Amino acid sequence: MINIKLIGVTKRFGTITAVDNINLDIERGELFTILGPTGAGKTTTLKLIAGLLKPDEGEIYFDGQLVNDVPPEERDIGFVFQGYALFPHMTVWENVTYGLLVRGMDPEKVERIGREILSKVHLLERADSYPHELSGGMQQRVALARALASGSKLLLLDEPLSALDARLREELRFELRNIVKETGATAIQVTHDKYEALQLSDRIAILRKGKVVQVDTPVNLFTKPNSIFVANFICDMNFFEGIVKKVDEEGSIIQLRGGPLVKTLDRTHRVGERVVVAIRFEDVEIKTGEVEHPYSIYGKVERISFLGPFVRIEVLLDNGEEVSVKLPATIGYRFELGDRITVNFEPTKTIVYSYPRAGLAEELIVE
Amino acid sequence: MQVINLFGKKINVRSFLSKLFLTATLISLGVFVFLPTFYLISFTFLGWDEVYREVFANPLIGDEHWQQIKGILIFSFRIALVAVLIDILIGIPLGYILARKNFRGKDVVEDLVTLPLVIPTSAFGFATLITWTTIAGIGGFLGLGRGLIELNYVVPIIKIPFLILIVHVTLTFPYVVRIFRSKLEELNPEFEIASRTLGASVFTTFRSIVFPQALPGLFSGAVLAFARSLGETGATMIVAGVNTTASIAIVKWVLEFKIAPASFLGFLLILIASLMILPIEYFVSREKSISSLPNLTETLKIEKYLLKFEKNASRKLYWVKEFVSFIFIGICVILPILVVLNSVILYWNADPYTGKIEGGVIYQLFGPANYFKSLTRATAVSLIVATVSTYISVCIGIATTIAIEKYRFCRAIRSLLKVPLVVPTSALGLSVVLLWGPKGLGLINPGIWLIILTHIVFSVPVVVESALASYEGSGVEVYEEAARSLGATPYDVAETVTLPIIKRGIFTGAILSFTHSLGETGATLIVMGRDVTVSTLVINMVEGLAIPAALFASTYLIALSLILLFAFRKISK
Amino acid sequence: MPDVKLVNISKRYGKGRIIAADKVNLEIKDGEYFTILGPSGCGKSTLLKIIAGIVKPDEGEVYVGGKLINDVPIEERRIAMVFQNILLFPHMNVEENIGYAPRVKGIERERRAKIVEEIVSMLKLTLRSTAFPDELSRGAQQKVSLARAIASETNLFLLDEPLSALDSRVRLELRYELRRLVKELGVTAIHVTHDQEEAMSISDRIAIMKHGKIIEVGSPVELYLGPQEVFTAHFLGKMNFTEGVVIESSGGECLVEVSGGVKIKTKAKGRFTREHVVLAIRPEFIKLSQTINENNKNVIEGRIIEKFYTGSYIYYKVKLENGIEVFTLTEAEKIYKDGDKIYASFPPEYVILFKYPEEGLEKELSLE
Repeated sequence: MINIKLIGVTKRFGTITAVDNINLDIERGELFTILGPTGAGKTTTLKLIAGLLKPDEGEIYFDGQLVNDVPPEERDIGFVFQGYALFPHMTVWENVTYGLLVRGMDPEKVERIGREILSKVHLLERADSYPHELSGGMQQRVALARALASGSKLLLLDEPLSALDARLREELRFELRNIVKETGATAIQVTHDKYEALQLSDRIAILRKGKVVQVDTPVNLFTKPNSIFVANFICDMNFFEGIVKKVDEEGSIIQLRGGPLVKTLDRTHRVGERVVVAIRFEDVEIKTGEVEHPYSIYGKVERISFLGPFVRIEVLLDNGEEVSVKLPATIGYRFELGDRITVNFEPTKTIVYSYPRAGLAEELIVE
Repeated sequence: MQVINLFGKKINVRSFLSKLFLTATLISLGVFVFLPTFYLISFTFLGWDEVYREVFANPLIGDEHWQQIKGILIFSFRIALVAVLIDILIGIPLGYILARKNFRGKDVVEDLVTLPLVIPTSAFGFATLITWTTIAGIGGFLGLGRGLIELNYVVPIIKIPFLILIVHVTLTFPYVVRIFRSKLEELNPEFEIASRTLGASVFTTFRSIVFPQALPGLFSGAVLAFARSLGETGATMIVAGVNTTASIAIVKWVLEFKIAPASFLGFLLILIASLMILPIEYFVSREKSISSLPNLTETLKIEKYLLKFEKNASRKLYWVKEFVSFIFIGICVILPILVVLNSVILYWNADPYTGKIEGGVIYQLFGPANYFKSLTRATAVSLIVATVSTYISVCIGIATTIAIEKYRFCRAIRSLLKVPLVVPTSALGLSVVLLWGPKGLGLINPGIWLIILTHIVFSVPVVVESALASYEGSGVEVYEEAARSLGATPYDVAETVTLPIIKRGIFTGAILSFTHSLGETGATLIVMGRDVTVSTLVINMVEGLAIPAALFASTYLIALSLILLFAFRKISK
Repeated sequence: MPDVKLVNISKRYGKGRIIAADKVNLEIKDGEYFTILGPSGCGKSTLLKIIAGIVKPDEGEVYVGGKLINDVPIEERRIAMVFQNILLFPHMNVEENIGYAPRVKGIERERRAKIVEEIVSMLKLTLRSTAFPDELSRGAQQKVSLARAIASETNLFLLDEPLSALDSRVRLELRYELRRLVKELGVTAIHVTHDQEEAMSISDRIAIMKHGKIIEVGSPVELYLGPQEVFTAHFLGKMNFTEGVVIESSGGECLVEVSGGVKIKTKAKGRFTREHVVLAIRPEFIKLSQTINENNKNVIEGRIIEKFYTGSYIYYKVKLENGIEVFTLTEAEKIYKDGDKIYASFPPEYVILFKYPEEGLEKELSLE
């Protein structure tokens, strides 16, 4: 396992800057995820690390060694491509052992490692099949086996699960982490799926339009997103515009559009400042009926969506805005369309951001 | 990275080898392909005084040559234009059927569309000639007692000789059909389904959705067909009668040692061909096509009626496109072949009309003229030329393909390579003989080696285009990246991944250039000296009025090309 | 707002080797948001294409609004379709794409422009009408394609994996738009997808499909909480399964013995003793605690072997002392460490019982 460092790396394609001056420090043995919308520059970053693309500026270090001029075939990496890129003219066996043979390994060793790795992904019986004869899930496993076969110390995974059905993806997510961790390699994966990132990673870097916005552990990213973009991308978050009305030692009171007041623990903004109040769907507290409270907001149930273990309720507040609430299904059942609702934002769960210069709508765009 | 010490300097082995590879490829391309192609231009410029004198200010005939050249060019352009227009009318329905429909016998239709590309043009010209102008053809079948039309019959209104027109249309329509078809196949058929779910009939869908997007393909095909018509020599020589096209003129003048007018005409043709490439490249690189078509019909207020017509046509006239296409193929492609086969049998022992055995195939082949010996010798020459030139072209072609894909500045080479494809082959032949022959470097005399060098000039682009199409169509790049990520050097990648995946494209290119070489006439006539190929032999036979021998040679050539076509189809699948 | 009926629809491909539809019978109510859900290759797209007229069935009839439409060509079926690959005509701009259906109906430019305007505001599209598809993000493209379908002013919407090609974050937002529009317009919608959360969150009813057959049909809540088939239970959301044998069955309760001699009480009727069964329970219903609570039934001791963080909740993989592994979905406030000893309780009212499937449990659970 090796440590990867990117310093000031930039890559342009014509007039488009795909990767813009990014700095990353990935630790040995880490399962690191680069998360962001399509077109944010994630695949480009991965290919730069692999050496399949050359950076226009900046340096890339593997364990302290500068690798900018090292061609991909000498970087000792295992790459899983988005569409798998299994050689169509070779069988499963030939695909998986390709990396071993092309590096000049002993035929006996090749035979042994090939069998080992195919057994690990449960595909030894299909060794003589061609890629187009296999299902999507099987192809994915072959791609993984091929990348792992040579025991590289660095694994690069480009949306390894995105070509699969949703249900299959959920199942294979758990397996993927095990397989990767077993090898002991440093793994960098790229995805646009936040669940994948949260469930599998040791740390996550959020990429937006070529820039790194925040790097942290899943727990920290989820509990302390540093910007509206990250909050919106990683969590299911409600956002409300407001103006700070009062600040004291306990926190602040913010007035939302149309008048309702919200209490928060934030003390970093001044009175009169325009802010954005954010609270997660699962942190919004709701009760039927109208309960008197200085910080209650009233509304009506607009829509109830069933999500399996959870229920998502859309409440139309009296001030015209909507708040989304996520509840365990056993509690969510108690609500019905049209019910009068009291909404409460727990101060400890409320996050306050400065109002973004580009406007709130712009920050909430996820593409 | 391997670094070695050579003469006290550190050299990176890998980058040295790749530079060597690139240099070798560029040099071979330059020497074998580009130099001959463009030599005629510099020859004309360098010898301008002499050229000017001969063509424009000849002491004997003034600017007669220039007037002739003008007339010939206009004539050739007219033919090409009309031929291409007819090609488009046929190409659209035929291309659509081949791209979208599946039916029994589709294989046969595909072969018939490829046949004109593969068949030796002189043999085909001859077959067309007897079909229309002799009693052995349609005329006899209809009981007229003579040929259906005169040799020099001119089509009224457009004023183009019928035989030349039908030969050109038949030999050029495959270019339009194949490119239009592949553009249609690239187009996701789901777009047509989306259009229909929105309520548009099949014909309306074609007009609004398919046609605008496939237009660049149609245009490319049309330009190639136009160029092919300009350069068509073999068949034209046989059916031209009293007329002269540009490519025939070059051959005639060269054989009369009138190098100046020949080279000037050749120079003009090369220049025009190079200029024609520009619009092709422009349209092909621009993916957006013409969307103003629907607006046009609306402005003209005919949209409503058009929609209604298309709706009814979709229901009732859907069979028209198959009908038109098949009739066309039947008359232009199948009929001449059948006539030749029939005639060879008829004329086998003796002339069926006069009874003279001197007019029989056997006599002409094995009698005093001994055409059989000439035929076997010519076959050997043709096969050697085709094999050697194809082999060398494939080697240069593979290296060039890899260079084009790997190095960005080599992209320009791809466009440049389209020029030899588009230039009339007789002009190419002239350029080659002037460069390598006694009047130029004096290295090679007209003969088999010069033929081989000439054929390489137009074979390399065929191989490269075919390999590149295969490369781009198969999405090889991602497999190359995968291979490199697994530790393969660029050489490993080319050997184990790139070439196996594109080998079908390379084979296709090889077979196309092999068959083209077999059937090539225009350039060969100029550079062949005393070594005769089969296609030029047919011309000799016809000019020597040895009709039965020509019948036999044509049948033999057609059979040969059908066998090659079969091989072509097997390998392309 | 028609109702749609499929009667005995069958379709095979590849000389009969691939079964896309196997005697499918479905009834979709007028104005319903109906989803056909299943893994790739189960035949759901084929069914939709048969309704659209793109594919002709080998057997069976399709009725829309009571009328048999088997022989009606696509362009006369009065459907609006949205595709996975979006399929906006690349050579036309946004306005021309949306206005396509009205145009081929013969509606003139001015009226068309009005229709386009109305729909653009209904969907709250904030883009230039002169923009070309390749200038838009994929989510925006799919919205335009939706607008284009709405502009054909028909009452039957067919949605073929409309969100599958979009980023996961975009999907979350767009799915609710789909339902809102369908209900606002009052049309019947048939939506095909492999994403079970998508299906559950916006459908009135769902049909689960596998290998060309309809497994089960019901509302999202019915299918999630009370599935009749093992595959339904497995495909919708996450489910823990184990095998067992019935020891006792009386009243509305059943005692089942599973691996390691452990006995589980369930609420199930009409079971026979010695019957081979499958037990299933949703991860969110398994309660974890570090102490034994007298009130909890079906308590088994185990160890935490893995954690998967999803934000406000955590999936724990627990290995029970009898060897069975289960996933639990627990609030992130309680954080257990790998290796912690834990007591898992399985409330009987949430343990579902199925007959052991003929082809074996593993085969029944395969997702491909």
